[in-house]
Amino acid sequence: MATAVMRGSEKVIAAWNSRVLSEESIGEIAKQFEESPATVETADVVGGAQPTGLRVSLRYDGEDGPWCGNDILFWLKWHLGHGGVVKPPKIIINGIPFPDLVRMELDFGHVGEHVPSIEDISGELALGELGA
Amino acid sequence: MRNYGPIGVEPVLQVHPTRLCNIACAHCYSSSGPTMREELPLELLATCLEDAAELGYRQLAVSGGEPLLYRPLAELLARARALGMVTTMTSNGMLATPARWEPLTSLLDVAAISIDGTPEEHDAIRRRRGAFARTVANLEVVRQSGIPFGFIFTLTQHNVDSVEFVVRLAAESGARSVQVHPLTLDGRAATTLPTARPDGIELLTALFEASRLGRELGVVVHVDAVTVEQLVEYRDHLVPETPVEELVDVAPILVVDADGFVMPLTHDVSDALRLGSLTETRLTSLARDWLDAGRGDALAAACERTWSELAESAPPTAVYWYDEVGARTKDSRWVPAAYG
Repeated sequence: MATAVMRGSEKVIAAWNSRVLSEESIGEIAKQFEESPATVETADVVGGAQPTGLRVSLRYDGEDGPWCGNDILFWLKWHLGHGGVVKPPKIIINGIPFPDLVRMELDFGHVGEHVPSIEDISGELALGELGA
Repeated sequence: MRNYGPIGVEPVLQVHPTRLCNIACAHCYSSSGPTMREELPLELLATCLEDAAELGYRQLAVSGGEPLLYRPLAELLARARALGMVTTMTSNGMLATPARWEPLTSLLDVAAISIDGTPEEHDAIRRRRGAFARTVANLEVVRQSGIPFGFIFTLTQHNVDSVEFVVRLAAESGARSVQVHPLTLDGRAATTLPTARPDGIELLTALFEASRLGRELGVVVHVDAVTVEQLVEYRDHLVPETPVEELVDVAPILVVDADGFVMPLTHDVSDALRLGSLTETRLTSLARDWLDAGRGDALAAACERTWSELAESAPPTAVYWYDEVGARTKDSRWVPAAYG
């Protein structure tokens, strides 16, 4: 049997990476973004009836920009408690030297590559415009 | 400075009064079982307790075999209490019926009940179908007695993922703590589980899980391991000063086996560093002769060597300190086999 020879730590990591989101863990995310000044632009749940991940796209306007640091801290702590694959968030800042718009995409839990990404969002911060 | 070792508690006298046990676990370091009859007489142990108290040992930890099968157990605990010692006991819990448990209620400070994972894992390592169910059924007896209790979980190379199950069970059943104890390849374990000793990665994962689950579930989870970072930082707790003047300074844990032999730190220590047998002379004499022969300094040198090697290990993970020291005491460069 394969599991008999697997390291315990390998089983911990496998379980950690594929942990199903609980009602409690989703509730924590909802509470955080109710308190955050960020606008939730999209929220995509991955995994259907057994959700393993949630991708959230956030928008911070003007002086709300620095708040994104609080949301990143929450995102890190959330993974310590609930597991998942920690991938660096995608952050796009518009306005130099003073940002007037920040967009951020956070993955909670285990999110594959098959959900819409911030790079797919059209509008003033689409990659083409940023590159212009 | 008095060295209490990585456990950071008062010196412990660990007594295995009998090798008789109702089961014969795969991981048993003392090869105990239903057919083993070796046991120590109460009076011999009572004298040992008096000497141990005089030498500075403040805690009696009774293990086995199954301690509940040692008939004079209550008397042994009472003698320790009379000497002002803290009393603890490790049991598989299968025999913790009211008739056996109630006489211990006023004599035992802490009980540790062995739980080795999910029901299937527990029964497999205990080599007895239904062992888990029987132990868990008896937890109510233990809980009702009011004796504070915790679980002890044997960590192998393959089961750190079950720590969460055990900690959740502890939280549900009123256990205050879970001790994660790494498997050592002594006794029966050396032949039945020769490849199951957890390595540094498994120990490190156990430490991480202990931190995570302890915080989440409010149960104290202790792993008998230190990270290499801790090892470097707490050298003073691990490496005794020389010359060694008192037994407790180099042996914060003293093991008394069911055959009467006394050894420092762990079962795994070299025969050359055993103090001798209580059936021949009393503990105070054994301790004095052992120190006079320079064996305390030899053990301290083995600790120093162990620390030096582990502090430079790469990648830095985690270690079970006593097991590492025990292995190095068998290296003739540090502890001559014909010592003394």
